[in-house]
Amino acid sequence: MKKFIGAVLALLIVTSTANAEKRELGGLAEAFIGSLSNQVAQLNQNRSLDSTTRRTKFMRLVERGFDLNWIAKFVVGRPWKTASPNQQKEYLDLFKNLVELTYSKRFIEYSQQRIIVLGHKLGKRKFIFVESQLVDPKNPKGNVNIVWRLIPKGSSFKIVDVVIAGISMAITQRNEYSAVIKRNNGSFDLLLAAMKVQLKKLRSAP
Amino acid sequence: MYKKIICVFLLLISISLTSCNTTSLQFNSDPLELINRKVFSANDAVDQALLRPVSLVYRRITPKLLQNDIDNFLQWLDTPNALVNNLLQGNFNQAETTLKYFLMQSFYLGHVDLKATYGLAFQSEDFGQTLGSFGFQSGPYLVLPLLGPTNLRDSVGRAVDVFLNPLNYLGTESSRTVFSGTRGALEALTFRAKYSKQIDELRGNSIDYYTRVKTIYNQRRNASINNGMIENSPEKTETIDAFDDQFLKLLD
Repeated sequence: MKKFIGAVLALLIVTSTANAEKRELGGLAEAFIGSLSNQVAQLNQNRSLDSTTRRTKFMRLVERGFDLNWIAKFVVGRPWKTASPNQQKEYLDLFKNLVELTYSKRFIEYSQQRIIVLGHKLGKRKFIFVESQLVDPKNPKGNVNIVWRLIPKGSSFKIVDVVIAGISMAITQRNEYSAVIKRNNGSFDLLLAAMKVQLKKLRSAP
Repeated sequence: MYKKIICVFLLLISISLTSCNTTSLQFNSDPLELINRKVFSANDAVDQALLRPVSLVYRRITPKLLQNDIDNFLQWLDTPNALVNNLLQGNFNQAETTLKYFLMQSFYLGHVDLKATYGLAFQSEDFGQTLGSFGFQSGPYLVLPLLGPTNLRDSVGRAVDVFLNPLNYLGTESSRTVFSGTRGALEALTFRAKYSKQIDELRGNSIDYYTRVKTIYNQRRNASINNGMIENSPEKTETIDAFDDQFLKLLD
């Protein structure tokens, strides 16, 4: 009987320790998103910087916060494995350039909005979901729910997906890239060509 | 005429019921892609030639306050429908909010922002969402001429919503036709004007605009059926094949 009680107690201790660790991990993930969004907001409010410097600094924050290599591979899907090292390298460069151009333009426009962290949920496969809301003081009706999908990396975290109002950026882009590859009979080169055209279009846009 | 419409609904509902029992219809089921792409291109051409320019003019010449009033009025027209669907889904708290919203907005005639003033947030609900909440699968993705992206379940829902809204029974048949046509055109115009920047950005940033719109539509509908992501378990988002273990191993 004593042994049994001992075993139950041990199990309770192990479970509660594991739960405490998980809670702590979630709290750290929340703090990570809070800190990153504060840094982005501060950078955006710093009007003494010219747009090129601000964009460079923004991209540095993105690279620190997001696992761009992971996202790039996730987005292209299975063809990643069959692509040659040269194709892989070219793809990663193009992907990062596209992210930079797409999101830095958007970032410069969002100067008043704030990210408010609401909580977290622990998902399967080590994923942590930090729930937040994008609040715009100019448009109180237009608050947007944002969920950040994070994975622990070393002593910190990396963002691998952003779900805005129920729309996952990674899944959206993945479906799009898969469609391009599928429509071009599985050609990785034609995906690279489409990305180059896209990059050129974004660079020439005002 | 009504008999024919009812027959079509019953047929569509039976198809949707069948799809409920099959697992082959996936999240991005698009067996009509070839036709859908053609309709999508035609819709896009209409958007670029007509809807976009008209919506830009509307936004430029209509005072912001009037735009808000028009938005509120259109939302008010949708409230009876939302109320019926709230009740069908057994969401009585939201039904109460929708009813309050309807009554108060009837009094204020759309001049007051009820969310900011009274904390009354309107949540759009349609029969497609109700079917989704009952567990009906979306069925194949469809792009309808002028109406845009949808799926089999939501098309059925859209048709049923016409019957569910008591406002659609007021007046003569010809006045109802004029009213619903004007309402539809106004809804398209205000939506395009409101999300002009986002739609233009989406169009400009896509390497496959059709697929991007399809994916966004599907995810948005799923989130609406779950009444927003944030109240729901994140595991729900992982039911989508995209983040499956087998695939993630490929990235290692």
